[in-house]
Amino acid sequence: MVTRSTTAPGVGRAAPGEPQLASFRAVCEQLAGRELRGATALHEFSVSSSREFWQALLHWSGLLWEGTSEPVCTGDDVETARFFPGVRLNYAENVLCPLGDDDAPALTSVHATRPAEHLTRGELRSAVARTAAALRTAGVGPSDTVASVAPNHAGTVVAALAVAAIGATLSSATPDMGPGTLLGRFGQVRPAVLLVDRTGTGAGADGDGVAALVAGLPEVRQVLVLDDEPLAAVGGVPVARLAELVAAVPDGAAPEDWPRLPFDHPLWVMFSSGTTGPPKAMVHGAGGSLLEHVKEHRLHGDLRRGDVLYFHTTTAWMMWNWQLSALAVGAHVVLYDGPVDGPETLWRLVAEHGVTVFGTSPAYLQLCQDEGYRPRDAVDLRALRAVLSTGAVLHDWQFDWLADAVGDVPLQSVSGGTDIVGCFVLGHPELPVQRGRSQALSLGLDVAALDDAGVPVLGEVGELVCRRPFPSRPVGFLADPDGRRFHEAYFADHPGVWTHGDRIEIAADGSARVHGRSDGVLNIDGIRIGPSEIYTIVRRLPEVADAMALEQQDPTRPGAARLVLLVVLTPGTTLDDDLAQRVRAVLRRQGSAAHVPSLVLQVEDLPVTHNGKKSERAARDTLDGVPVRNLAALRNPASLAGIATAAQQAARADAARREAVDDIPDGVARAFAEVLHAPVDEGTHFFDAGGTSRQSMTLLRRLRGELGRPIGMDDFLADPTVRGLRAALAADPAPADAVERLREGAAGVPPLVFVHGVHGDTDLYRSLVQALETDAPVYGLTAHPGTGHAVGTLSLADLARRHVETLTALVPDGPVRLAGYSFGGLVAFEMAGLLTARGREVTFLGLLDTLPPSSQLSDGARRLYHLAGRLAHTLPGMGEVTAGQFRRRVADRLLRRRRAASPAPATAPDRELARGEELFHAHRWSRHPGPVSYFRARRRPPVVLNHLYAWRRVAPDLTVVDVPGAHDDLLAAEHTPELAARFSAALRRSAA
Amino acid sequence: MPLLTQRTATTPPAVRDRGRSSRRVTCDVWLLDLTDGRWDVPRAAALLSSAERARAERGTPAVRRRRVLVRAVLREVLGELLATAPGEVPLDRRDGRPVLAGAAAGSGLDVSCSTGDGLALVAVAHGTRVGVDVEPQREQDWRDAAAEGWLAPAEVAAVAALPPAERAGALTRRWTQKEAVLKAEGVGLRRDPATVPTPGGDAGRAGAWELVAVPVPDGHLASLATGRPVVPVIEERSPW
Repeated sequence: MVTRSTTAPGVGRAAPGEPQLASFRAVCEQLAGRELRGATALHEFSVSSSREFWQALLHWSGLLWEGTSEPVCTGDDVETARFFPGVRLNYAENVLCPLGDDDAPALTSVHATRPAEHLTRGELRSAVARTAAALRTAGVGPSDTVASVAPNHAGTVVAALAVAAIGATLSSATPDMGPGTLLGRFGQVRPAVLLVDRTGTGAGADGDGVAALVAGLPEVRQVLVLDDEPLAAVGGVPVARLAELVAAVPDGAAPEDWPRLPFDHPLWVMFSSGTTGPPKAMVHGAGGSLLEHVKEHRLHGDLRRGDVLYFHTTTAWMMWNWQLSALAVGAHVVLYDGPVDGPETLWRLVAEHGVTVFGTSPAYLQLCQDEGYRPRDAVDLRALRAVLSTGAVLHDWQFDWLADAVGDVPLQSVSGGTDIVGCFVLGHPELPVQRGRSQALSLGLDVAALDDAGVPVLGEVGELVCRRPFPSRPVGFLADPDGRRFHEAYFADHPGVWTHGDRIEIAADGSARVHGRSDGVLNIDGIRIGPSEIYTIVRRLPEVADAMALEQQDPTRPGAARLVLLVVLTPGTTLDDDLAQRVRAVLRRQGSAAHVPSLVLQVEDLPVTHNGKKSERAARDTLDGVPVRNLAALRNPASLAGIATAAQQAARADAARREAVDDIPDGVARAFAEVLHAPVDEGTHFFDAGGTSRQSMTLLRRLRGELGRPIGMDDFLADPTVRGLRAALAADPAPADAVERLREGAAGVPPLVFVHGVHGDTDLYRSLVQALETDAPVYGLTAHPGTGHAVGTLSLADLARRHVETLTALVPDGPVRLAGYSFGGLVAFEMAGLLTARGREVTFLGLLDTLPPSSQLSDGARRLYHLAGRLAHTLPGMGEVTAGQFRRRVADRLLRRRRAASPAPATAPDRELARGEELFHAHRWSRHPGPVSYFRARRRPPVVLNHLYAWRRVAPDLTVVDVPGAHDDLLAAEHTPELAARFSAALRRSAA
Repeated sequence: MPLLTQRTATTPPAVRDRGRSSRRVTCDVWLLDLTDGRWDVPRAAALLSSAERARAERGTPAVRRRRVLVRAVLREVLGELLATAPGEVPLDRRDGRPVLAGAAAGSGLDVSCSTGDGLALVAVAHGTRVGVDVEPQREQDWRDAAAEGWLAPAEVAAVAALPPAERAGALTRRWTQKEAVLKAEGVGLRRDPATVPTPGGDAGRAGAWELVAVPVPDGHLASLATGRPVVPVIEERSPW
C-alpha cells in the first residue's frame, strides 16, 4: 500500500531552549519502551535498534516522501544492504520546501570584489524551478549526469539544486583543478552536460580548459556557462548561457512538483583519491545523503530556522554538499567564492553576515592563533553559537585558544568522509566539549574501534569500523561493474563491516578522537605514499622476499618524518651496499625521490598478527624504542628483536661512516685510486695516469656522492689532480664558470637562458631543454655550492645582479629570453627587471611554478602560504600538493637524496641551501612590466591562496599556461613532452 | 722504407681514392692494436714534436706508449695527405684536441683520435668536422653509470627498457656517440654529455651531427661523428 507522509513541516521541532534532539529522544523512548537518558543510551538504542531508529528518523524529520517505509533495510551486511526500497523522494523538493516564511533569507553569496547576493527561500525555490525547467528544455533528464566546474557561489547552488530537482546526477568540481585533474574525475562520470564558470579563480575552466575538457569527455552534448564571458563554440558541442535559457522559460512554465525517485537514485558522484589508481568515483543516493545530513544538522548540530551556516569549503569537497543540505532544516546558508587573504577574512564574513554556525579547519584556526589574531577583539561575534572544524585533528591547545580568542562557544570537531558523505563523530547539543575530542558518535552509525585482533576496544586507538548498515553508504563506484573495487575499498578486512581506513579512539562516554589514516599511507613531509606502491616496486628485485615501509620520526631532524624500509631477503642473501643502492635506485626510478627510504634494514621476519596481517605499528614502535602496545596480538613477537638489532647496527655503521668521510682530502685521493684502480700521487694528472673521459664521469660522481660537494667539470679539467681538486673544493671560481651551454642554436637567434634551481645547478632542465622546439641557443646559469655566488651566499637581488653581469658578458646585446623553475624563476624575474632597466629587451620570461616570496604576501597570506599544505590535506585529491610545505620540502628532499647517495652529514652546502630558501622568501621583488609566461602546475592546493593575485601585482602582463604535474615533479621526465610543447608554444608566441 | 702499410684487402682502392682530390666529403679511420709487440716505440717517438713527447712522457708507461703511437700514426697519415714529412706536419693542440695549424689549417682536413684499452682509432676527415671515440665494454652495472649523470632522463629510461643483457652495450654505445660529438664540436667535456642527444641505435643523428658505428674488435665499441653524411673507410694499421 502506498502511503504518503503528510507530516507538516516543523513537526518535531523542539520547544524553545530545548535541542531538537530532546523531542526525537521522546520518539525513541516510546519505541524502546524505556528511558534513554544521556547521549550514550540514545546512541546505543540507535544502533541496537537500528531499523527502528532510521524509520523513526524518517517520519520525525518531516521530510517529504511517498511510498512505504517498510522494509527499512534489506539486510545486515553493510556491503549489500539497501535502505527504504519503498520510499520515493526528491532531494531538491526537500531542501526547498516551504517552511512557512518564504521571505526568510535562504542563501547569501559573498564575493571578494563585489557586493553579496541574497536570495529568500521563495526566490531560491523559484530560481531553481526556472533553472530546472531550462535544463529540461535543454534535454537534461533523470538518467543524465551533469558535471559542474564552478566556484562556491549562488549560481552554482541554484544549478546544482535544479539538477537534483529534475532527478539528474551532479558531480561538482572547482575551477582551481586543472584539466588533467578534472578529466581524471569526470572521465569516469561520462557527463552529458558540462556546466562551467570560466571566471573562476583558476585557468582550468578558461576557454582552452573548456575545450580540453570537452575533448576528453566525448559524451558531453551540451556546455552551459554560468558566466558572462563571450560564448565560443567548443569542438562540435553547442555552448549556451544558462541564464539565457532560464530567461527564455515562459512564465508559469516552471513547475515545482519535481519527480520523486527511488531512495537510492543517484544524487551526486563524488571522489576520493586513493593512493594508487584513478580517484574512486562514488555514487551517493538522494535518500541516504538527505537523511544523514538532516540527522547530523538537526540532532547533532541542532541547526534550525534562524541559524546562519557558513562552512568554508570548495565545490569539490563533500562539505559543500553537506552544507547545501542545511537548507532542508530551514537554515540560511552563506557561500563565499573569494580568496582567504588572512586570518581576518572568514571571521569578518562571520560577523558581517550574522553567521551562527561557522565551519572551518584546524589549519585555519592555527593560522589565526599563530598570527595573534583575536576574533573577539576584532569583530562582532555575538551571533555565533558554534564553531565546527574538520579535515584534520584539532590539537588540545586549539580548544583553549578558541575559548580565549573567540569566546564561549562549543568547538565541535567533526570527522567522517566523502565515502559516507557525512560524519562518524560529531558535536552533541547536550554534552560539554572536551579538549581534543569529538563529543559523540554519529547516531545510527555503529562505530567502533577494533584492535589488531578485530576486537572492539574502548580507550585505545583502533581501526574505525561501522558494523551495521547505514543509509549514506555509497550506492557503489562508477567503473566498477562487479563491485570489486568497492569491496576492496571498505570490506576486504572485515567482511560485511565497513572499514573506513581511519584510526580512532573511543571513550566509554562516547567521545572520540580520530588519529589519522590506518591504511598505512605514509606521510613523509606531506607527501602521501601508499606502502603497497613500495612493496610492489621492491619485490621486483629477486633478492627481496618481503618488505615493510614505515614512517618514523627522524632522530636527526626533530619534527620531521623519514622513510624506513624493512626488507626480508631470500635465503643466502645479505644486504650489502650494492643491494641497498639497487633498492634505492629502483624506488627512485619506478617511484619517485619521495619513495627512497632514508634507511634500509635487513630483518629476518616482519611482525604479523594472529590474523596474518602485517603490523606496521609494532615495527614502528620498536624502531622508535617505545613499548610495543599490541604485543599480544602478534604471532611472531620475536621478529621485533631482529628489527631492534638491525636498527642499532645501522646506527653504529652510520656513525662510523660519518667519521670516515669527514676527511675530504682522503676522500679525493680515495676516489682517484678507486676509479683508476691504483693509488696516484697528489700531483698526478688524471689522464696521465690512464684515466679516460668516461672514467672522469665516474670520478666526479664519486666525489659528489662521497663528499656531498659537486665539482664542475671545468674545475676538474683545469687541474685534474688530487691536489687540484682539493683546491677547487676550497676555491671560489670565477663568475665565468657560472654559465653552461645547454644546447646549440642558430646564430642570431636570441638566446634562451635558464636560471639554476635552489640546488644551484641546471640539471633539472635537461630533459626539458632537449625536448624544446626552438632554434635558440640555450644557456644555463649556475650557482654551485662552494662558489662565491652559491645559492645562500648572496641575497637574491645580488645573485640576480651577478647573473646579469655574466649574461651581459656572454651575450652583450640584443634581446634575451629568460626562464627558471621555482627559485630560479624568482631570480630570472629579478634579472628581467635589471636587464630591462639597462635597456635590454627581455622578450620572454618563463616562470615555471614559481611561488611568490612569502615576504611579499600580506602577513596572513604568508601564514596561509605556509599552512596551505595542511589545508590542502583537508580537500580530497589534493594532499599530494602542498604549497606550504614547499619551503621545508625542497631542503628535505635534497638532504634525503644526499643521504640516500651517501652517509655524508649535514654540511655547509645544506646550510647554504636552507639559507637560500630564507633568502628566497625574504626577497623584496621588483616590478616587471614585460610579458611573463607563468607555467602553473595543474596539481595544486585549492581554496587557500591563489598566488597569481600576488604575481599579477608585479607582473601585469602575465599569461598562465597550465602544465602537467605538481610543483615538485613539474620537470620530471613523464611530464616533459607536454611541458616542452607548451613551453615551445609560449616561446613561439613571444617571438610572433 | 715506407711507413704506410698495405691497405687491408676489404677496402677497395677505388673507394678510398674517390675523394682525395675533390671537394667531396670523406673520412678514413685507422685502427691500431696498441698491444702488438712489434710497434717500434722509440722510432715513433722520434716523429713527435718536443711538446708532444713531453706530454707523452708525463704519462704512466701505458699512457706514454699509446700517446706516442697514436700521435706518430696521425703524423704519418697527415704527412702522406699533405705531402710533408711526418715530423713536420704542423700539428697543434687545442682544448685537448689535435688540430692542423699553419698553412695546413686551410686544407679542409680535420682529425680526431681515441684510445680505449689496447685499441686506438685515428680519424681523418676531409670536408667536415670529425670526432671519434672508442670504449672498452666494461662490467660496470648500468645503473651506476646511469647515476653518473651523463645520460638525459629519457636516455636512462630508454636503456632501462631494454632487455638486461643489452643495457651495458647500449650504455657504452651512447657514451661513444656523445663523446664523438663532443670531440667533433671541439668542446670535449666542457659541454655536459647529458645535453648531447643520442639516437638510440648504432647510427643516426645527434643534433647537427651524423653518427655511425665504427666496426672494432669484440670487447670494444666505437662511434664516429661527422658534420655531413659520410661512409667512413676503415683500415687496420699494422706496426712497422
